[in-house]
Amino acid sequence: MGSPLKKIMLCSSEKEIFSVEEQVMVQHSVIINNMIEDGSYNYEESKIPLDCVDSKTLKKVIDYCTYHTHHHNDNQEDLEAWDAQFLNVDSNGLYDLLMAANYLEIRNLLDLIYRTIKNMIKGKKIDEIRRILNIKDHGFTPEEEEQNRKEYPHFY
Amino acid sequence: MPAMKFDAIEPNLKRARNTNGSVSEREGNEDRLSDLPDCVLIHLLEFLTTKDAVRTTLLSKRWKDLWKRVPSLRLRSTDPEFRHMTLFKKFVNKVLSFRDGSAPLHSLDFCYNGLIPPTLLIRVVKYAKSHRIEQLRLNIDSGGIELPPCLFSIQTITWLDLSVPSGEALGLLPKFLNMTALMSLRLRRFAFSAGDGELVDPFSGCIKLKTLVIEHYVVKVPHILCISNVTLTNLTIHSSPFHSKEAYEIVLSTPSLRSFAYRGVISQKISSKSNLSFLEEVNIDVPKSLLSSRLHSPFILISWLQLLANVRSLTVSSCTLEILSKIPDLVNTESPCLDNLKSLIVKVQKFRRPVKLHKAELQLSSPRIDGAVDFLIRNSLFPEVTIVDY
Repeated sequence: MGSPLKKIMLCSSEKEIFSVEEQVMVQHSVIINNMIEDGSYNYEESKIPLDCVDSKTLKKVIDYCTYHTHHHNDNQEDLEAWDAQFLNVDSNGLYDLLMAANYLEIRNLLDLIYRTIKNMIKGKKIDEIRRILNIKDHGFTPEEEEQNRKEYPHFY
Repeated sequence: MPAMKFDAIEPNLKRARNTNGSVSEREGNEDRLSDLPDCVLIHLLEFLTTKDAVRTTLLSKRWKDLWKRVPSLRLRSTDPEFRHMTLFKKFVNKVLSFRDGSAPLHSLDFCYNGLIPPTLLIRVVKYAKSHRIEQLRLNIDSGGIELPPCLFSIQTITWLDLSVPSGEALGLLPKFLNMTALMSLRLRRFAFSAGDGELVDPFSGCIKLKTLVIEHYVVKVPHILCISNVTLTNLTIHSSPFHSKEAYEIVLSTPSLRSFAYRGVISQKISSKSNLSFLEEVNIDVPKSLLSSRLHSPFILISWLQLLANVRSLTVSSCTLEILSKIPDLVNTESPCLDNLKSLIVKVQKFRRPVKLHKAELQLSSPRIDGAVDFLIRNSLFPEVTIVDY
């Protein structure tokens, strides 16, 4: 575990530098925890490059980790309310966060996003899910699609 | 989930989506979820029931085969879509046939609401075994089925939850469970029987067991259930009057036990071969629905309390105290030595009857409950007493 006041530098895809309490990221991100533990992070020089995470998303990820580090003793209801507010973003924002959380291996954030997407599609018909997930090109041949619709009409 | 490393994600980001080969605009209105790597989408599918996951096969070519590699299966016949069990049977057989047999399977949750064909149950258990399953829940609702014996020889299971049909015919547990990886076990509606032995002692071979829950069980001849386990820390027992018609005894030999919860009728003796020095948390809950049972014995309750010398936190329902208060001369009866008790929580079950009765009953029971509380904490130094509704 990192010491509480040490800071580490994260670099977004726009090369913007974010300075974060080491402990905040170490507690949440498996990847950063591993980097710190195996000594591959140099406090004087290193900036962790996150080439696939833009500044807006990285800022949100840091907000999430910071909040959950400092509020982990809050009651479950308050945390869930905060999480719901936190994920009140459009689908692009949600996928950006999913990508970033997957990249940094932030397990609790990943689970939160997976649950949110699950609730978006649970019990829905195929046509609805396609609309929600923006699947415009399903890639099936017209014959395959027709066959599927014929065989499982109640799913569409 | 296998994690992606730093360099693995970018090719996916840059991948062209459109069939004409042009790279999509990032801010565009495109299908970005499908751009994510397989492992992410497979993990997402784990959050769905298997029925919903299988259905994503119709979404697009990208999704078509992903469900086949999801490492957990949730097959529940209670889903309203399976109006007839034949539909569910067909579904289970199809899933097991079409799933990618080489993909790992960590957990299987199988719930069957009806008379299960033995061949289907055997198929499910064998599938789990051949995939070195770690977490398994089987909930079988009716029929006089026998569990396939190979179930108890799956050595990879760490978490096992078994519920078998209610009724006179209970599931029969092997005399000795030799499941060495098992950490958590819940058994519902099982019969413990030693055959011709002196006592039945099924759990001592589970050398990693931490949590054991037994519910609505029967102890058959010779009426002694021994729970010997060196690693066990949490024990929960639920008994129902229907299943405890015959007297039996529980013997604990659980030196690491930290928490014990009991719910049901207080009628059987519990004794201990180890000194239970780590037992800190105890919950004894007689539900209101069972208060009138004639099987309760206040003297047995006192003998249980005498095992709890090191308990720091004791939770009892108000009905548990009612039973205690049935002892004619409670004030002059020797109290149990709860020397280390720091907290006594009394749970008062909310009344569902008309208010008039509720008030009358409360007034009636209060002094008796107070007496029982005094009796419990007589030997404890300043324990905190909390009364909560539940």
